[in-house]
Amino acid sequence: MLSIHHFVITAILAIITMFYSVFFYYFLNDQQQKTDLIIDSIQHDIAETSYIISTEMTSIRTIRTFKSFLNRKVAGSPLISQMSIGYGNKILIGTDASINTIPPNHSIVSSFKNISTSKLLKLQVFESTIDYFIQDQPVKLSLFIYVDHKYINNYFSENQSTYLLFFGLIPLLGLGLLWLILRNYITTPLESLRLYAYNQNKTPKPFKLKELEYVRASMEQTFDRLEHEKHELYRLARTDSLSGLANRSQLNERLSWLISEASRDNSEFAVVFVDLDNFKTVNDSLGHDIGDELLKNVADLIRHVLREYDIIARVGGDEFVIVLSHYKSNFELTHIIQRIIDRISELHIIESHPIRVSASIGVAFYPQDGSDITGLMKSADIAMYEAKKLGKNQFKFFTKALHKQVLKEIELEHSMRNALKNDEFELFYQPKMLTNHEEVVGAEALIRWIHPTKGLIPPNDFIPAAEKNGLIVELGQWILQEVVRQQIEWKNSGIADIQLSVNLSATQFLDDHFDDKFESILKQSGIDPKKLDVEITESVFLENSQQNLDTLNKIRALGVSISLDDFGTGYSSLAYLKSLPIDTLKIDKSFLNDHDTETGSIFIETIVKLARTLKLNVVAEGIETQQQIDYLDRIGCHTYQGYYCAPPIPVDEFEAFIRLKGHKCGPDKE
Amino acid sequence: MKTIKILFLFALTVIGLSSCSSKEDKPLKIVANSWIGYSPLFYAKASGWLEPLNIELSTVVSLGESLHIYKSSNKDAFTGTQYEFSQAYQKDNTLMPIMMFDRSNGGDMVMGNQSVESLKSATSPINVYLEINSINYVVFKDFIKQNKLEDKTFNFINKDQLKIVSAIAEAPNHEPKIAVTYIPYNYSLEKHGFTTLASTRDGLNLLVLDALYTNKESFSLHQEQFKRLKILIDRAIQDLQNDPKLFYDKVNPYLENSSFEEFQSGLQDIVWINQSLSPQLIERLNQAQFPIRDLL
Repeated sequence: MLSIHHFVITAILAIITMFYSVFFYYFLNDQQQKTDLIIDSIQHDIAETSYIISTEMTSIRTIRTFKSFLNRKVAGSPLISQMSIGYGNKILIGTDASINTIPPNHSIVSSFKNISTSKLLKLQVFESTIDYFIQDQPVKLSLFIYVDHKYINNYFSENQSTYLLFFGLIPLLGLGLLWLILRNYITTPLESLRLYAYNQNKTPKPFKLKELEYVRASMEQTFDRLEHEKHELYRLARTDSLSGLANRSQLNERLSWLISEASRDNSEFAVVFVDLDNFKTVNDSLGHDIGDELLKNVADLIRHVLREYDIIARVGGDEFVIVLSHYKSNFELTHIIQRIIDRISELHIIESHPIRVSASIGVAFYPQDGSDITGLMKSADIAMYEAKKLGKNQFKFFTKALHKQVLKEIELEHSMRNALKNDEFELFYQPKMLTNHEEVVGAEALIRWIHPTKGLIPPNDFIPAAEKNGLIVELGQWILQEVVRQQIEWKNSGIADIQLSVNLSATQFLDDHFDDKFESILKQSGIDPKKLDVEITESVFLENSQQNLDTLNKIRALGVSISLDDFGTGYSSLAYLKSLPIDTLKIDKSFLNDHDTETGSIFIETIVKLARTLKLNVVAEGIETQQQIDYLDRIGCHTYQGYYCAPPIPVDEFEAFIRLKGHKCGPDKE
Repeated sequence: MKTIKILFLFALTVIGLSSCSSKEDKPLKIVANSWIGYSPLFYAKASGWLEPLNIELSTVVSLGESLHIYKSSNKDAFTGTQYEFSQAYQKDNTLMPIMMFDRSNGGDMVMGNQSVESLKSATSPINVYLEINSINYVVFKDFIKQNKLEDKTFNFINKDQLKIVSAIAEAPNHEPKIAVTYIPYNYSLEKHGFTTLASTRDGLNLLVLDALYTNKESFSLHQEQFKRLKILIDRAIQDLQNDPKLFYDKVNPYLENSSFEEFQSGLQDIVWINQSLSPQLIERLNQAQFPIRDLL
């Protein structure tokens, strides 16, 4: 592809070639025209002279009388230097005395046709005949005209010089000037614009041509904006927009660099995973704006606590990762971390709301707790969860034991998934009895894992894990389906048409489609919704309370009753009782254990009275003695469940239990 | 692209305008001498017919001068008799007659201040005024032959027709003098006592044709102009026949201001042969090796 510089040079050369071709043609043509004019003039002089002599001369002897005529002709014509008249090989007269011989043939030209300029410049003598008659006999006299070479040469020379000046030199200078102008005003600016567009390193100086200057200014403006936007994008790509801290991308980048550095130096650094405790509550109760402000506050104070070169990043909603290096000792490190915890625990005033949050922190070290980013983050995360598990607002170092525990949890999750697939889970049923009639009024379904090698695994060993890893959703659905199926089977088989209770975990409520699935199971099975009871704990309302409340209302609207399990062990807020769609309160076993103490009985009786006042059913859990039953009967709680009557038992045993309806519960039941 | 188109159109316009404004057809330059036979040419010029055809007509006094001007001044065509044609043909063999005007039927004549009989008895040399390098010489030679004057001594005085008239006016009247001339110069000589001794009508056995000659190069260059000129000449002769007086008024300045009567008399001494040539004439022309194949 042609550059503008070469293009302009080519164009100018083309113009020069074209111009000078035309000029040269015109010049030659003009030369020839001038030559033709000169020849015409000479020819005319010759013809005229010849004719006058031929008609005026009375005899050859009188030819001398024409000398003055010839002299006048020579004097009057600048083209002619001399004239002479010859007869035979003698010169009769001439304008110059030195001419006394006939010019040699090679220097004589008789034809006036096709004489070029170069030939004219070489010509010396023109010859023409004078048609003279002596009486009636023709006599051939020759008229010789000597060309004034000096004059003609000068004439053409001057003409040539003039042409060269006006058509050669001046246009050449003009074209040179044009080239300079084009170069300075167009090609060089365009070249600098090209370089600017390509390299963007040196901004060209302002140009004199308006359009080019517009392009330059526009490019400069665009490049400035692009540079600014590039920096801004780079910054945004690496920065968390809310807190102004590094984001995960920058964290990964800097951690990679730090790992390479530490790997070379054999040094270590700490990855600190910070998670705010109960931040979701702040968001839910005070709104996301307040939550965001709180995060900014936390980010600021972490930044103030740490040093300039420490890496601080926000990697999730309320999760921060801090990378600490160059600490002198673990003491200094723990001191820094503790300061972070302390500062976060301080009271935050956000838009006049006093907020108190805490942070759980996990710490992992390079290289012993992870040799890459994923490993280190995972280890710090595990340690952070350990801190949360141990009561929050504290920090924990990642340990091998923790690691083992995590592995164990992973293995457990794997086994649970297999168990679900291999039908290793089984539902046990614990009957709910009336205190006076000893009648089975219902049963609570409780899951058991019958491991093929380990045998019976108690729920406490896998339910928390299932809640943690989310398997509880799938497991809960299986339980619900199984309970519904069992209720219908018992009803259809005539064994019992009792209400069965199923426990719902708070985690199950996190599933957005839980209520739809619940309703679908009920409708597909055809169970009488009144024969189904769901048991929940207060924990269901600690998070997403409104959403969970909506779900419960939908369940209840289907006709399913709701029991509040372990009542009295949690917050036991009266507000819950007011707002929740609850049908039954289940008094926790821990209360029943103290029924024979004054304080214990007060609590139990208060709960029973409360239920009665709120027109709620009440069921006592963990009943182990007749004394407890009697007590319950006395205070107005007529339904119980517990080992006194029956532990959770497999289906066949439960069916047998039912068949023995009327069999008295207690130590002598056998 | 648009700019290139505009520049191209501009260049075309400039070239077109410059060629239209400054470049006309090359003029057809004709030289003719004063002769009644060429009066249609003069009529065409006086009527303004030649200008639109870009034809320039120059008039000279004599036949010899016509030939001389043709040769020396780069004219494209000249008028003359077959004698001038043969003279010029020797130097340019592409020369050809392209337009016939007339045949002299008394228009060329030999005049004298004495009768032929007196001339025969003259003992001293007789001065003969003529344009020696023209048809005059041929006419005179035929006169000598027809009147058997070969034994006489003649002193040839070579002048053009106007100078002949002047010289005769100045020369002593008693000397026997002969002038070879043609219309309209005969009228001036008659005023000096000259009478016609012989003419192409009477006393001479000579064919004198008047025509327009050009060479091959000029003809190819001005072919169209020649063709249109031929039409105009025919038209002029037609005008002459329709209204001789009007014709005369226009051509008189070219014919030495002869009177209308002289003009009419002169017309009797020529025969127009512009339209066609008789077979007899064609035969005579062929015998004289006068080319007629290129006649318009």
